[in-house]
Amino acid sequence: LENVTGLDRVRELGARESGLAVVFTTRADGTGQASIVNAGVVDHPVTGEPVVAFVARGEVKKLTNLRARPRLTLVFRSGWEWVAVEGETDLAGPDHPLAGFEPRGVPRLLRDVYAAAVGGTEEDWAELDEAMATERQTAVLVRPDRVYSNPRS
Amino acid sequence: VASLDRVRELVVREHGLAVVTTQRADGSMPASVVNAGVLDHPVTGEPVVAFVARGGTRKLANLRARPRATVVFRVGWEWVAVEGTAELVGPDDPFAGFDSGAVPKLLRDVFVAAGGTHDDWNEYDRVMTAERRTAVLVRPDRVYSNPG
Repeated sequence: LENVTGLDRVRELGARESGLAVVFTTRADGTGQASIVNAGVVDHPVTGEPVVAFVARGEVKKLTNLRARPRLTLVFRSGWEWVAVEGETDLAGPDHPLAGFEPRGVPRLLRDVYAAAVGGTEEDWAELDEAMATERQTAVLVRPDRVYSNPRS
Repeated sequence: VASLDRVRELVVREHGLAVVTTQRADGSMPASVVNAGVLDHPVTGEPVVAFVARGGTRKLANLRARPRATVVFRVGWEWVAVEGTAELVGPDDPFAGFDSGAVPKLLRDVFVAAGGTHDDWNEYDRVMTAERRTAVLVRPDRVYSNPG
């Protein structure tokens, strides 16, 4: 899939499932560690390009994996329909400064990611700023380099 | 603690739909969606997570070179992941101790374990053979779910 078409598909399937996606990061031994996140499409806060993003709590294994091996695979599925996104990752959060991005912009970015993934507006999420900070929540931004789907679609 | 019983439960609720990832030579992880279920390994008898893969796919090429897979079953927010060594049993993948004449029966068993039903098993066998379908058996060494 062309990336633009593919990200439209991500938006479409994501909207049907509250942004639920399976994410695979890579352990040091090369095996794939799975978890579930709410993800959506936002503009990269530095480059402006569309990226697939989700929020990770401070000390989870997937962040450990991504610090060492900054690449992942995400799959959005609704019934039989699915779309996979692979790409390199940038982290932006209280413990993960992103070059060119002001740390004080983190709360706004986290709100934008939640709004893109789960729904609602950026303002709706503002009341959770404190909880997000306490949990050292970090935005994971995936720059898509492979987007694909069912062979027959 | 997550277990294969949990896998069986989610299989029933979501037609066995599962996201599976393998590994490319460069270490990146291609993903796809399959119908998978739990059945007894045809040689060892241990419970495994199994699905059917079409012949000639990159998934099979990856699994022949790097025989390991992660399979994730999800229903809404609930999920369970199974990781393990993948064994292949099919027309292009003979398996020690398994009679190749029994491959069609195994492919039927995998289909049924994933919640499938078929009106015409002879037709099913014919399509499986024509597409050189192969059973992928994942011997679980890690089974896990939501942290909470």
